Amino acid sequence: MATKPSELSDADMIQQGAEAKIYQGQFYDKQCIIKERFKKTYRHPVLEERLTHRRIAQEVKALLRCRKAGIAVPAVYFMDTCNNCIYMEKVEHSLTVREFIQQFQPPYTEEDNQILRSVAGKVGSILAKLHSNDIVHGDLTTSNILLKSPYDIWEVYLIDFGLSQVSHLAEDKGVDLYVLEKAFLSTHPRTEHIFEQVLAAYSKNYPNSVEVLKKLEEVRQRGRKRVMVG
Amino acid sequence: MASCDHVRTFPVDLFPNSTISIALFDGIKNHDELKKKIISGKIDAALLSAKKICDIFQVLVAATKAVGAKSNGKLKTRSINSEVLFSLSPSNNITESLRTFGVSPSDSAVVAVTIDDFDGLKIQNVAQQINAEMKPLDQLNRYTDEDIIKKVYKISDAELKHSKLLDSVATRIAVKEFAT
Repeated sequence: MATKPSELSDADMIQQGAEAKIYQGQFYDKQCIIKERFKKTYRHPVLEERLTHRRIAQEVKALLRCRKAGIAVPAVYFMDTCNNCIYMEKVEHSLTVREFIQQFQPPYTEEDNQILRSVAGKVGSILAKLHSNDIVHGDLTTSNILLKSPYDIWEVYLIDFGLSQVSHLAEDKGVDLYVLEKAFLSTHPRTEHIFEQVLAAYSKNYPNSVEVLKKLEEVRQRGRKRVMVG
Repeated sequence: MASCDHVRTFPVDLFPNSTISIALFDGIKNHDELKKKIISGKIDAALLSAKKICDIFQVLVAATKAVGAKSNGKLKTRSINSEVLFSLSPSNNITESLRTFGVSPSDSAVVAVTIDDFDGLKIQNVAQQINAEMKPLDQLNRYTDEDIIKKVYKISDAELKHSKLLDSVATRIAVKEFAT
């Protein structure tokens, strides 16, 4: 039987969310991140198992799909299906876009703006690639986008595909951008001009962006929930 | 007796009672005989075509997966040895996997893998039967054929712009049953 990550020392846990615990560990000679989807005791066990299994499947499928499309994502090393854990590559020498932006304090100097805009442009073109491959991330925030050094090159990695889906609908892609816009502007006040650059690069690199941006405008008016049944 | 200095044994952290031992051999000539011995079970090891291995880590990822399947009672093939070969393959077809990753007459070099070989007897037995020279594992790359690996695992150049070949290979092995 595999060692349960819950038996790993708590010191190895680096993050706990509503759905998963994130540990830092090692898989042979590689540093790795272990993502455990823990059991929710308030759910019916059968439903619980199906949901967890489906989310893990969704996550690794998206990682593979992105990888094949030439989008930088962490490698997967091992799946512990008994304990609902994914062992994946730790992206070394990286920081989140959130951390990156927070290095700068508003009011931004012209130089700051230049750097921030250039990174925003990179993020926008990766999102264009993501959506042109019909992958919808489902939880885009500035914490789920990593920048890997060296400085100036900043390779953009996407992480945390637990809520992702494959969809060709402009609606879903519009909501994806909307979620990011909300997260971006609420985490980083007075960065509207920077987020604009994300969208500019997005539309430049994605032929179908017109339709998606139109949806984004609609979603802004009404919020992200479209279907009002029940 | 063949020297076993070059065998490396790795404890499996996730399954603490298991070990994976790996050795590299070059200069195989008795392919037909080997094949018979593998089929009859006289060789208690997985013999992998070295061309399709780019790193020891690739072997560890596949072997750990096989150890896990055994420990959960979910072996898809007849033995842990064939399971190592099957795990290594991106295909869900067992026969095809064994054919692709097993030793074939065009292979001069093989990677031998034994599981739970605590006293080293299994790999010693391989060394005696294989009629080839044991090589240090760090020479593995000399035998690697990256083009074949890219083809077998269907890895494009676009993907390799953002990923090492080893990471692409490891991911395909790890997520195989989810990749449909």
